[in-house]
Amino acid sequence: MKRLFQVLNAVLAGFVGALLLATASILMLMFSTRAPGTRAVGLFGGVLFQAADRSDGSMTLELGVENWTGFVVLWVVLSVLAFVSMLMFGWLRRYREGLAANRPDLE
Amino acid sequence: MSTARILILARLFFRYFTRKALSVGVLRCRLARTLLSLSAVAGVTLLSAVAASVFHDMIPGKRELFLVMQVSTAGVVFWTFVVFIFVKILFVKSDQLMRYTMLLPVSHRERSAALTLYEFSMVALSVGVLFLPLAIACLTRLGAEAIPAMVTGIFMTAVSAYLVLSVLHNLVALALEAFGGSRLVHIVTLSLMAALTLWYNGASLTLIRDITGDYLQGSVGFHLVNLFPFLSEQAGWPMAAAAFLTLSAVLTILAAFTSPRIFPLPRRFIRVPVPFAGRSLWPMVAALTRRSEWWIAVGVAYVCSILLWLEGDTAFAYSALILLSQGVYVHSAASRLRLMPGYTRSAGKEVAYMLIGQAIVVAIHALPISLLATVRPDALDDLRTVGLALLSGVILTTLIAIVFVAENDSPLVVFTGYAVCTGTLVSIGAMVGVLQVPGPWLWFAAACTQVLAVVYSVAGMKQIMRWKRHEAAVPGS
Repeated sequence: MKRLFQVLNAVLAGFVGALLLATASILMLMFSTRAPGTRAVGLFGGVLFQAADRSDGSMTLELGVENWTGFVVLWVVLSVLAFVSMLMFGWLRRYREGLAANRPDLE
Repeated sequence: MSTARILILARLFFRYFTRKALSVGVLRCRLARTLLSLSAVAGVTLLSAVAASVFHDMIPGKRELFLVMQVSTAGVVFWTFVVFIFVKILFVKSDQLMRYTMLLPVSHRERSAALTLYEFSMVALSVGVLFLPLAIACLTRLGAEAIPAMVTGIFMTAVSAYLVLSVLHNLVALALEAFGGSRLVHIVTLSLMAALTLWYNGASLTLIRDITGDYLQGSVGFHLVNLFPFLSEQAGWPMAAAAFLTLSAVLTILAAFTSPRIFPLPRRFIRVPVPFAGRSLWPMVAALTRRSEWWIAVGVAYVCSILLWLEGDTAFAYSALILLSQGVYVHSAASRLRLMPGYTRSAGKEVAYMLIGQAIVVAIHALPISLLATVRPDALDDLRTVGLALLSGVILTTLIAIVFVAENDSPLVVFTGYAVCTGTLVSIGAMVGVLQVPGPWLWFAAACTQVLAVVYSVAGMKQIMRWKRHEAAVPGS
């Protein structure tokens, strides 16, 4: 059960991390693309941003996820990283507790 | 009245609330406190940097900056409302301290003055921190020239708004006292103040539009909230200062004279008949319904829905969402039930009872609002959305109630819980909006979020039970 929750936490952390990275990439594209009509992609082709002038003087914006595969791969990678970090944290804590149990003076 | 005694009492209030605030919920943990302080400092710094950068790049001249200060008066008044209510709730929840002060050799006037001093310092501190980034950005851009605009726009507006609210509060309390309703003072005044805050929040958009419209026409209009910036613009800074001092003196005298003759001790529970006694869900429903705060939420929701209904809009249906404000107390409201002999339930069952109990209470009290839709059938679509939002809100507020356990109904923990949850939801919502996620996927994600919230609620409840068992087994832990 504990392991299941660790997996769930890691998947959620990975999802939020992927969302954050994708949004940050779009915002960076938004503020770095100067010429109207340029189609800019970021995050390994995962997100896109395009601004175009219209005849009435207004502007259309196209933004969002271009390729879901990139997003899903990023989510999986971040989830695995989060899960490994949790495992390592748990292992280090148990190691410290083991040391403290054998050497009371370390506490 | 002795000034020394007033100051001692005000210091006592300050120390009591600081210690109380820092000894409950997540704030008991030093790491959490440090993290919260660091995030607050980082947030203010980041916001100041962003505001300074925006002012530098997008706002061309001084006149536009003064417009920003004028517009900010609407925000200053709103936050004064919010902090005023928050401090009043803080005192309502601290009736034991009030009972203690009645044993001290101080007069009622001195106690009222100390309370006012403490309230005022809280309001000034909170509004000051909230508008610090704006002030820093203005100072960076304009230098010392920005100080009069900041003083009139933020300081004078906040102080006057606080004094006006105090006088209004005292007048309502006096009226209730005169009609023999002093036990209901807190419930009625807080309901009225909350309704007023919601109304002002709705009206502030029009206010900002009007102030901006005046600026576009090259003039500065009078809109009550911008009284001091208006006076400063029309008659000069000394005139604004003189008007502020006169108004403050008049309002302070009025507040002193209208302060209630006795401090009304709050009524924490209201005896309301709850049918179906003996059913397994009855204790939970009764515990939620008989809290006095629940009736404040119901009163505010009904007043708002009627006002919006009279306006002819379909938005009145959304007033039912105000009922969710009490959801974060669902765990602490039922805490006394858990002390009853023979009351043993699994974490899953406990969460299920909290969810169903809250859903029943919310649904029953949302019914009169939905009945208004029978007269206005075009609100049926909104009602469907509100129904879903209520269902989702019941699940999410139960999760907040378990993650941020409001021990002794601590308003600070509740506020932190709401702030964290709202911040997380708004951030995720904004990110999902930027990514333009397709509609069906959004519905799927929303459903998954609800399921996960229930799963985490059960896990949190298990953890709380484990801690309670540990506390019972290891004395002093």
